[in-house]
Amino acid sequence: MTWHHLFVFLCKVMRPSTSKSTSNIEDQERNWLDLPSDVTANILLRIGTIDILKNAQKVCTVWRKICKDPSMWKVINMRVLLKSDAFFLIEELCKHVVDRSQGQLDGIAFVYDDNEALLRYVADRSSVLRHLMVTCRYGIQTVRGLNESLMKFPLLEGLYLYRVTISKETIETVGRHCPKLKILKMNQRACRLCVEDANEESLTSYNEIAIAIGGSLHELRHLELKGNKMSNVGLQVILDGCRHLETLDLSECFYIDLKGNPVTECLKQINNLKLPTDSLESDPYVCAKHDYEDDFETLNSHDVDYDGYNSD
Amino acid sequence: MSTSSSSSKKIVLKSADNETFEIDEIVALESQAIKNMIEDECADNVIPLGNIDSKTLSKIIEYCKKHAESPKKDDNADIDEKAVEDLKSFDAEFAKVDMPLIQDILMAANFLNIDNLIGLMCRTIADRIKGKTPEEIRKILNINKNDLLSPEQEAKAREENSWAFD
Repeated sequence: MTWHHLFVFLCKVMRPSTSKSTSNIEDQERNWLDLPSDVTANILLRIGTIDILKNAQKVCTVWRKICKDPSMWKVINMRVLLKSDAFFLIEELCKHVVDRSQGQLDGIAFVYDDNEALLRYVADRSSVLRHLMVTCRYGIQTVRGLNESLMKFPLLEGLYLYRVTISKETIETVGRHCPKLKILKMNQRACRLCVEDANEESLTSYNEIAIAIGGSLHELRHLELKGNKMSNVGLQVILDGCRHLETLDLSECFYIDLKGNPVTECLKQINNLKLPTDSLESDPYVCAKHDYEDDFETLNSHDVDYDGYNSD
Repeated sequence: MSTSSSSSKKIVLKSADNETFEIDEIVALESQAIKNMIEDECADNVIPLGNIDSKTLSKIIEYCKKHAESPKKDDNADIDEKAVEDLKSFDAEFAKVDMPLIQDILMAANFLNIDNLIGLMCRTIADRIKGKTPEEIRKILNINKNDLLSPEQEAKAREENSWAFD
């Protein structure tokens, strides 16, 4: 037995334990309110918007105070809200959260369903928004009001457009108004059969988006263009214009033909690359996924799953 | 993986009730607070933790040991999926304790700045109070009745939500 063990032994024998007894109810009660408010907020953010409104904010004055803080309302996930039993109140709920955020909204997963007015409501009140995801609820649609809304998000870092008809104007708007954009993900679910229709003229228009990206989004780090119809020409413009790309996902971009093309050399410089021909089941895209998952972690969003959005 | 060989550096933690725990330094480094102490060289041979009792501390050490031994998420993309699953089921088992202990672990994890453990405890508490009424939540968490909302605050809260939940 070392001297140290002896010391501990003596301490135990000679002195009664000074630790609090966990059966002491008063101690427990005091402890709950002693919990730092950021830890309490951490718990409450995990129970979700509706539970906070319905229940948590009525539990006690400490919790009510925490729930009033705008920092509790930095993220809206309409997809989760639509799955809840309050789905029919979606518009009111979103506006309520926007109001409570007092201009601090940091991320929103917007579900488009001919609700242009709601998108504008968010855009007019959320000038520090960093992440915007838009998914169309029913099929692929043009999102009305999208370009005008994007002009109001000067701090935007991540833009995720799923089941959305993309125009080059949208990309150019982002280029002009969102200088901090680092992540762009668009999933267009290409139709394989179209490949046969390709001729020179249609390919030019198919490259529009790629050319707009290469021409205006020079700060991009992560780019996902699943199912884009660009050809090698468009890809080359992207690689020339977006020099900081760390991840590039080209899966289902069936118009790109890498066989013996010099563009292949440029692609080697990208850390995480997913080619059109790569198996769709494998996921070498883990890194990029983590990147923005981390972004959302810092938003204190615990139920926002921006990645699993288009998987249904 | 780090084997807990006798040659690796040891740290001794002392609980509020004066129990000491000798652990590998790598296990202690799971705590950002202890890591800072060691880096700033203000950690003596024994680190006293005057606000953490031995029951809580031994749980925390159990957690840190397991997590220190597991491969870290950002090490490589090729993480052993089995290891991830293993850690998940460890966490799930670890959290199956009564509320007072969860609360003690959370307070201690917050003090020691162990991010993953704070997250796990917060998630556990959130799971237990989700979908519960204010009264049920108070009961589960044993929240002091002296801190209830005044009738005016209660009315105000109802009014704010009148469009939705009442």
